[in-house]
Amino acid sequence: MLGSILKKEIKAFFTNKGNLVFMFLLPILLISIFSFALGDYVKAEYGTFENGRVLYYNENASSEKSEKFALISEKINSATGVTFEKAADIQSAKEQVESSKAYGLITVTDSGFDYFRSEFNEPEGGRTVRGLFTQMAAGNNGSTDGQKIQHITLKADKPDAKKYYTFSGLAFSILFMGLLIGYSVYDEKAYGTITRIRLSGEGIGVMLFSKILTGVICGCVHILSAFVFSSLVLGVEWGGKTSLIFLLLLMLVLYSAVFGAVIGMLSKNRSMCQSTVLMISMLCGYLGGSVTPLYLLENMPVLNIIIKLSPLYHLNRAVTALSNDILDKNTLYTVLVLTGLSAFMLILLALTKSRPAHGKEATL
Amino acid sequence: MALLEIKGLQKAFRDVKAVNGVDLSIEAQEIHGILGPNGAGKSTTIGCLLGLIPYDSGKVVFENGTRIKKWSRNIGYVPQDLAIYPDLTAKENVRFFCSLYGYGGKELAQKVNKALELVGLEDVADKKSGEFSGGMKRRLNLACGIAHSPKLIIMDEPTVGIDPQSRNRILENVKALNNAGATILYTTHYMPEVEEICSKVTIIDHGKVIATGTKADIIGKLGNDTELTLDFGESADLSGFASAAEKMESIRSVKTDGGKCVIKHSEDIELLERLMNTAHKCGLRVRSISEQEASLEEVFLDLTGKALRDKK
Repeated sequence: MLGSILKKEIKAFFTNKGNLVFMFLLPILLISIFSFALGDYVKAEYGTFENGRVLYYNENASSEKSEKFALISEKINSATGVTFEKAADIQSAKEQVESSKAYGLITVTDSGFDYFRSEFNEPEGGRTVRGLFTQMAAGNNGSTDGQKIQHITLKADKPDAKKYYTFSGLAFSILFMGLLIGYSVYDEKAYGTITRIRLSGEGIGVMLFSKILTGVICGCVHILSAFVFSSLVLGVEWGGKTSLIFLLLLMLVLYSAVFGAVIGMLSKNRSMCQSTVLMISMLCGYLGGSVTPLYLLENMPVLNIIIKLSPLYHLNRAVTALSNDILDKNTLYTVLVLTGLSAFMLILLALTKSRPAHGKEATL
Repeated sequence: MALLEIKGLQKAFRDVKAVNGVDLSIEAQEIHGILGPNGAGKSTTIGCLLGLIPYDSGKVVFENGTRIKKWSRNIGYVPQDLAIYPDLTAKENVRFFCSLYGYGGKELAQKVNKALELVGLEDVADKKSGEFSGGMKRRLNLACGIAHSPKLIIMDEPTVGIDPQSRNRILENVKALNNAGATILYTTHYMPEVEEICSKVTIIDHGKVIATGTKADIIGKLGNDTELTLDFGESADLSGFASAAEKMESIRSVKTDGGKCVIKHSEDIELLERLMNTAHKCGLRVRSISEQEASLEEVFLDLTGKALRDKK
């Protein structure tokens, strides 16, 4: 009877105008709004050394320290292109660092080097430069492995706002799809149609499966819509690993549909279903870098640990890497996280619903 | 042969005993009405027998001692709340629910058309049910529950909030389904419905069965009075007659209303003659006499009381 239920689900889903608007327009709207409104966030050229500059201030340091600094800065500059500029005064230099206009401020003194950086706005390139500088400053006469610097430079990618928000915005909108599935499942309870399905001898599992499958079909349309829009209108290149990106996004669709179905089954009223799905989706989206770019979130103390709880964080990392043709452990990790969470929720639902309150006759 | 047998059914929600030892037997091909005030335990009983609510103790078995899990496909359920999909057409709704029972192709199409014809929705079969009036939705709700030709149809207040025409249509449908061989369990608040269609009645209150049988059985067993109204004309002085009548055997109450005297009595063939004699002695002349048997509503109110049940 799966065929009957699935047919009905698809018919009901695709004849609802609200669902159609959601499927085709939401990803386009989110990608457009985020790309244009939040584009400045990503303009920090994070992950690259483009326009990177480090300020320095010499506090009457000895010639030995000054020479060492000159040697290190020259090496970093030749390997990365990052410029080292003399600051007029410490205060204005720090202000530039705090506003992401410079990676950091190095104060050269007799006792050594003091590296000042912004705790919240340090870009990826700035972190790399800081790491190199610290490493070289700790060595003798600034000698270090030049190849290592070269390697880091080559690996750095250069995302742009449109590309970043195509993936993160699409992932965010996929999360909201859980609400449609949640409503659909909850309405079966509210209308009482679930009782008729139960009495027909069909398990509720079949109904849930068909709802999740409908969600996956809807998700495919959702992804395709975003793909066409971002490729044709925004000119975003999905890269050579597009099929893997699609796979990860489909895993997210599955997670979202399962999440919605479970919340729909457990909710006692429609508003509870709505607020639970929306609240968790928004939280996952914010923490997962759908609004604020990941590099900023990763630089915030405490938050850089909390964000790892969001499945979207892992997905966005993996997809960003894949879009730059980098297949790393994040892809596998994302698949495991999303599959694990989906399985966990289904097991939780099965345990909750199979437990008879108290009574002799098992419910249907 | 009993199609449904309920014995000693008990279900409590925390401290409240919603069903407290209900015994009920539904015979094949009868229309069995279940009456009870709000909170009496009707819906909980139905939930328990449908396997939707786990019960604490008792036994619910269907034909040949079969349990609900194996027999549920023989049940057609027409719930009080509309169990239909508003985004689908009437035909799609009936088709979907009927297809759950394994019907397909021509057989499915025939059953769908038959159900829609029965409830009078064949002309609007391709219209979305969300656009239907209340009465049409109720009739569609019925069609969805009966399209697969179930042996037992359970109807939980199927005529709530609809116009007399739709109600009449549904009652006709219930009788037609019964004539076609279906057994019907019908819960309602409306006494006239029960009196019109039910061959047997069970009255439930406080989770217990307080009366069961045919309408005549219930009225007879409980000794409810027949009401006799004697009209003496507006100017008649009935004080002497009323006090004499009150003393008579088998008379339970005497009330005067203008020139009319309303007497409640248990059945007594000689009573009318004695009353006529008394009236003659009091110098009164009877203009008209009317007799009315106790209604099921009176019996119901006698048994369950007149206090409101949904105040708390």
